[in-house]
Amino acid sequence: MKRNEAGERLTPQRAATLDSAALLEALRTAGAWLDAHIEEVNALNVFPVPDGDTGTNMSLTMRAALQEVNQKTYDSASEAAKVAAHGALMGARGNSGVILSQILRGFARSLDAKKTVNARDFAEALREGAATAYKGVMRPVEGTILTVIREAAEAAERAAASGADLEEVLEYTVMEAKASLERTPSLLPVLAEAGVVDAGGQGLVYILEGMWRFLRGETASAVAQREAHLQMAYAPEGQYNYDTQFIIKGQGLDVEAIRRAIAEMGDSVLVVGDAETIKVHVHSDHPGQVLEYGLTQGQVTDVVIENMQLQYEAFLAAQRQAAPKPAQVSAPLAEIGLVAVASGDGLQTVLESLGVHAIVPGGQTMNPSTQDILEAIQSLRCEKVIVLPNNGNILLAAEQAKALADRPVAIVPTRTVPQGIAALLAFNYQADLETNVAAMAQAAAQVQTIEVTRAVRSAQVNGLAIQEGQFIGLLNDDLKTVGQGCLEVILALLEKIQAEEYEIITIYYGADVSEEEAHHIAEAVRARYGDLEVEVLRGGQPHYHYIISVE
Amino acid sequence: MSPVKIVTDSAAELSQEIIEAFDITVVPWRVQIGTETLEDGPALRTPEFYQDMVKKRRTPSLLPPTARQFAEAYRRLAEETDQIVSIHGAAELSQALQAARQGRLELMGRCDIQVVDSQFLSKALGLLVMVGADVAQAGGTLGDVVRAVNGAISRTYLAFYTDALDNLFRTGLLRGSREQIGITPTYKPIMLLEEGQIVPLQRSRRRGEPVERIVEFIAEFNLVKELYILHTGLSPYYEPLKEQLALVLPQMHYEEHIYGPLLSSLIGPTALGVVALEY
Repeated sequence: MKRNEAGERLTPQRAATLDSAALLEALRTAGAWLDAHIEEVNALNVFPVPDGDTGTNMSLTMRAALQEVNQKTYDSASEAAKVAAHGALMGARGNSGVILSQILRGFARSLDAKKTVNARDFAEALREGAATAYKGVMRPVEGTILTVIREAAEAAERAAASGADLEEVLEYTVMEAKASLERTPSLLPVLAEAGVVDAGGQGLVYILEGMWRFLRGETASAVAQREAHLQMAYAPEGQYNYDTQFIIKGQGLDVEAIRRAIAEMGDSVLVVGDAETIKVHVHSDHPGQVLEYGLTQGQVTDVVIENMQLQYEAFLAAQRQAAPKPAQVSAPLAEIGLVAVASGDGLQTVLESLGVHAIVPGGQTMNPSTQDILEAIQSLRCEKVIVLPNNGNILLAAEQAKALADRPVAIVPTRTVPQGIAALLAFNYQADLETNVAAMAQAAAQVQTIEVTRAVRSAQVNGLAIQEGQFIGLLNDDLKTVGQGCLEVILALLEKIQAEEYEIITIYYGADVSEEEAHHIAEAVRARYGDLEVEVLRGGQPHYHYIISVE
Repeated sequence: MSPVKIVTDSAAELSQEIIEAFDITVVPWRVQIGTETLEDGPALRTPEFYQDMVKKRRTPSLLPPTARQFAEAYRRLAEETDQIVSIHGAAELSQALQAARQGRLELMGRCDIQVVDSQFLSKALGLLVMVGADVAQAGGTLGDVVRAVNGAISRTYLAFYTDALDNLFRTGLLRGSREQIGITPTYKPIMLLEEGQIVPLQRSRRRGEPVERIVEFIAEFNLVKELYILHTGLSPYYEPLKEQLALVLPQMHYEEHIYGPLLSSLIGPTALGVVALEY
C-alpha cells in the first residue's frame, strides 16, 4: 500500500486509501471539474430568469470549502474533511450550495477520526452525506440533487460491499449518479417539461466525477483549468469592461443586420427599434469600435459609455462605506433585530425606512452566502434576530445562518421583496419573537407579487413557449406568463389575480427602467383599475424591470 | 409675597431675549457629539449646527439635566422667592421631568416648588412656559401659574412629518406595527404629540404629499394665537411648505423656528413640524 506524506503532490494511481492530502486534492480536482462545466450547469436552470445560477452557486460553495483548507496540512483525512465542510457551510450559496455543504458535512462526520479513507469508509461517508442532506431540507423533493446523492451513495455501498477498491467504488458511484441524473425528469415534471435534467444533480455529478478523475491521475491539468475559470466566474459583469449605449437615427435602418454586427463585438447585446431609430446596448472592451460602427449606419445620439469595472468597484466601496453607522448612544438597543436580503439601492432604502437594521446585498442575481447572512445577524446589537430572505433560493442559506448564529434567530420565509415589505409593516417592537414571526408570515402571505424580467434564453416551461429576450412575468415567484412588452405581462398577471379585489398596487421599477417608463405603466394600470391606488417607487433592482406588490 | 419664579429646561427652546425678558431660569441639556460635549442652548438651534452635524456625519447623544442641576437652580432661586413653577417636557419624551422632581425633594420645606408635565416638547413647551411666565410677571400666584399652564395645554398643538420614524418605533414612543400606524412604503402619516404621546393624526386617511397634508392641518385652525413652523434647515419640505402657505393661506401669520437637538434626536433633523397655540 502506498502511503502519502501530507502536502506532497500526488498522482495516486489505484490508491487503496486517501490520506488527508490526497482527499483534499481529490476535492480540489472535483471543484476544478465542476468549474470546467459551470456554464453547462447554469444553462440547466429551468426558469429562464436571470436568477442565482446553480452552477455558480455550487462552484462558489466548493471554492469556500477549498479556501478554508487552503495551504494547510492535516493529520487526518477526517480533520481535513471537517474543515472543508465548515468552509462549505459558511460559504454556501443558493439552495443547491447549501445541500452540497450538507453532503460534505455528513461525509466529514462519518469519517470520524479516521486518518485515511478506504473504499468502505468512502461509501459510508457518502451515505451519511446523503442522509444529512435530506435532513437539511424541510420537504425533500425527489428528482433533485438529493435523489442523485442518495442513489449514488447506495451504488457506492453496493460496490464497496462486493470488495471493489476505492477507484472502482467511485467509478460505480459516478455511473449511478449519471443514471440517477438522467431519471430526474421522470421524477420532477417541471424538468420534463423544460427538457432538462436537474441542475444541482448535474453539478454533483461533476463533483463526483472530478474525484474519480483524480483517482485516475488527472489532477494537474484540471487544477490549472479551475483557476482560469474562477477568474471568470468572479468578474462582476461578464468579461467585458465597458457598457456602451447609444441611439442610431437614420432612414431604412436594418435592425436585424445591426443586431448581428453588434453581437460580434461583445455580449449582453440589446438592439431594438425601427427603421428610423435604434437603441443599441452592448458590453465590450472597445466602445470606440462599437461607436464607429454606429456612425456608419446613421446619426449617433445619447451616447453613454460606462466602465463597469469601476462601477463595480465603486459599488463595493459604497457597500463598505454604508456598513458601519454611528449608533446613537441614548437610544436603547432593540430587543429584536431585523435582517433582510435585497438588491437595488431603492429597495434597500425602502427596507431600511421600514426598520431593517442590516441589509444583505443580493437576491436574484447573486445569492448571498450563509456567511454573509450570518455576519449581518452577528453585526446587530440585538438579543434576537428575524431574517427576511426575500427570495426562494436564499431560504436554505438563511436557515443555515440561523443554525450557526450565536443568538436566537427566526426566519420569516419571504420569497419576494414585496412579501418582505408586508412582513416588515406587521413587525411590532413591543411584541415577542414568536408573535412577530407569526404576524409577519401572515402579512407576507397576503401580498401578491408580480415580477417582470427578460427571458435569458428560449425555454419551454409551465406550458409556455418562451423566446429569448421576451418579457416573462412571475406571480409569487412562479413563471406564469410571457409577452412582448412589460405592460402586456403586467396587465395579464393583474387580471389573473383579479386585481380589482385589492386596494393598493405598488410598482418598484428596476435599474433597467426609466422613471418615465414606470409612470407610463402606472398610468395604464390606473386606467384599467380606477378604484385602486397605484404607487410608483424606484427599486433600482438589477435585471427585474418591475417588482410589483398587490395587496 | 415674592413673585413666582419660572424654571424650565433647554428642551423648551427659548431664545435668549425671551429668557431675559420673562426672567426664566433654563437648566441646560448636554449634547454629546463624538468626544465633544456642548451645552444645549440657542447656539445649537441654527441651520449651521445641523449642517455641521451632517458634514461630520455625527449623530448627537442627548444627556438630560441632572437632579443636582435642578436642585442648584432651585436653591439659587430660593434666595429670592419661596414659590417656583418648574415646567418640562412630556415624561415619556424627556427625562428632565424626572430629574426636576428629584431635585425638588432637596428643597422640601424651604420652598414651594410645583413641577408641571407640559405633555409637550420644543416650541410647544416653550409657548407653555411663556404662558406661565406671563402670569407670574403679572403677579399671579403659584396656583394661578399652574392653572394657566394646564389650561393652555389643551389649546396647544404639535404636529410633525418625518421620513425617519424608525427611532420612534425602536424606542417604543410609537407603539404597535407600522401597519397599525397606517404606514406603507409610500405613505407615512403626520404625527401628533397628544397628551404626551406620539400618535398618528387619524383625521385624514386621504393620501397626498406631506406638504399638502401639513397645509391641510394648519388650515383647520380658526383662532390661532401663535403659529410656528418647525424645521432645521435640512428638511426638504420647508421651502415647498412656505410656497404652499403663501398660496393657500396668504393671511396666515407664522414664525419660523429651528427645533433643537432633543426633538431632532427623536424625529430626526429632516422633519417638518407645526406648533400652534389657540386663543
